[in-house]
Amino acid sequence: MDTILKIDQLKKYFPVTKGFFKHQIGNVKAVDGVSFTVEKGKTFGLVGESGCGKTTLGRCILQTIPPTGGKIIFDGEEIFYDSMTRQKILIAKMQAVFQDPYNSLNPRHRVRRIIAEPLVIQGHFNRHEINDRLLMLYGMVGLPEDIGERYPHMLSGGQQQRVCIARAMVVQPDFIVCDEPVSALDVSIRAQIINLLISLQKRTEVSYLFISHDLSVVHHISDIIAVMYLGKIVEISPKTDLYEKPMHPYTRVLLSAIPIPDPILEKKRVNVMAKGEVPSAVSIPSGCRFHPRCPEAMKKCSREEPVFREVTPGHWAQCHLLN
Amino acid sequence: MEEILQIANLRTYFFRRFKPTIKAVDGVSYKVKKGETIALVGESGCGKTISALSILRLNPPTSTIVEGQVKWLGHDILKVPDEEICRIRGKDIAMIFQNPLSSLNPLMTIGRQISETFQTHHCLCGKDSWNEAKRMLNLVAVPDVESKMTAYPFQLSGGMRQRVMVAMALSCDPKLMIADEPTTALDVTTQAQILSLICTANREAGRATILVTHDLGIVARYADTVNIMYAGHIVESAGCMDIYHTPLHPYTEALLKSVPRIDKIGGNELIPIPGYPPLLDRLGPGCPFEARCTRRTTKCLKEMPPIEEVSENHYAACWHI
Repeated sequence: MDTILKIDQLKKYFPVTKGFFKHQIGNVKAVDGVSFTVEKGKTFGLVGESGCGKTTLGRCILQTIPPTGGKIIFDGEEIFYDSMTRQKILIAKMQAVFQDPYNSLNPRHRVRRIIAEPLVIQGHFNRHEINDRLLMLYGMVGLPEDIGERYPHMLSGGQQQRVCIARAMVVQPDFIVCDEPVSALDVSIRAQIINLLISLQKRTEVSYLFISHDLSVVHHISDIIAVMYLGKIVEISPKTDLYEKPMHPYTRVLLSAIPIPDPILEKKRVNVMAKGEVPSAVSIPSGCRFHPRCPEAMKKCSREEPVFREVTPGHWAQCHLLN
Repeated sequence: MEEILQIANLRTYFFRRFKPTIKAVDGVSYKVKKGETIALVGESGCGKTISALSILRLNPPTSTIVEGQVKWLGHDILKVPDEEICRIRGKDIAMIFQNPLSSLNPLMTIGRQISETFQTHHCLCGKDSWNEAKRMLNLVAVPDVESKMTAYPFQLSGGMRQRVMVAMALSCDPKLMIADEPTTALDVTTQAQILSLICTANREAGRATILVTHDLGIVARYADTVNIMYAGHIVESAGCMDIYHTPLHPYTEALLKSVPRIDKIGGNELIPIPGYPPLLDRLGPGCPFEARCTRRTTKCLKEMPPIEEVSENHYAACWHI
């Protein structure tokens, strides 16, 4: 299998400042040493609660914010935030789809201009080529052909998200960061967009980094799932293993927090609940980050940070219970 | 079992100048029995929140309750004077809203806000109500109560604020609690904590709950009876088991097939509902689901199907059952 993206020990700290002279009093460790690889044509799912750094990670990969440390290797080449000439060509192969479709579309532009803009910026295409590409894309993402003349506010939420997806697909990218693409949509529309993303991947072999807080959506769309907690990945597992054999207690808590739409199964389930709430990323707990909330915490957990290791082939986890 | 609330033919419309009327709630009827958890399920804009707000006449001032009855213990509370409905709100029927930050007063400390309920409804003096408020916060498992009592809403996390809302709702020991999407703004792990807090508290006290939500998983976990809403109408109403295992209305069926399920290894195939929900100001005389339905015929376009009892305690509104 070819690797499209390799992340190695990626870190992003935001400084916390105080007072008039803004002297630094600490760091928000939004992403604190994350490593993973994304295979070509596959979907890597990233799940976690709000504030765990999953969006920051996505933005670091897209180079919209400079990472503090670590390496991003895309398509065999390392990406540096500073040198932008070669990078622009590379980054054009990476696109993004965001959570709120309305706010990610320019309200003053018509749909055709929004979707065509990436092509215009690249500048290799004449008007006819752009037109043909747009018509093909409308068909691909399931938009009516007359949509080009409309403004974003005239569309429904589902259609707006389709426009966002079309805009990402127009440059024929190799990799798309999908940051909560279905969270703002209704249940019936959500399924349409998920199926659209899956069918686009089958047609174009694009790879996704699918970020969401909803484990059931991530589980549905991804091939490999990573669970993130307070800036660190605590478990990486193939899709088939995660529900059957969750290894990290946090994964078990997440799984049990998601209700299954079947009352018979729900009655049988044993609910594991985490204590308290997610601590602030400024003062990260010592040892294992999850220990203050963990239902199975031991003495050792508050002192030593467990090693992130491969427990069974392809299934990684970071917990003292596994030793 | 004893019925405490009966809603019959409730209609709440938004009349607009020079524009067609929005029929947000268009003929909703259901009953709430003592100690029962009823779920109102539907997509956004289907009228579930407006119908819940209309029960306490808290619907937005731009809307009008055109018709209908809301019988609370035999009295129609849509017709009682304003002072009396104020006595019912909070004391007999309590409500929890979607966004806790915008429903708490930002200028008052948590302690004062909770004790206010005791002062209004139980005529307690300052010190007693303060102690009662402290007891309520303990009940909803807020850590470090003393410091939280003097904190302002913006100083608390989302989950804590929602716990405060629950404490306020529980403070007068109401007979019915309306929870309008209480966990939409929260994280999944906090959602599980808050929902189990609400539901165990209500179950222990034998209190009825109306749970407004769009999440079919939450419904399966907590509800006894489920009402499925679509475009201002209840299209199906049945016990929880029946809804999930023998759905009758094509919308319910389609909705269940379109949610990803975590228990299916390799994932279940998602069958999305084609098209988009209808605009509420452009509804025709027919069934609102007609355009997206697989069973549609010309009859559906012409006439709205009435909601009828198909089997015992299982109601559905469709011409093709």
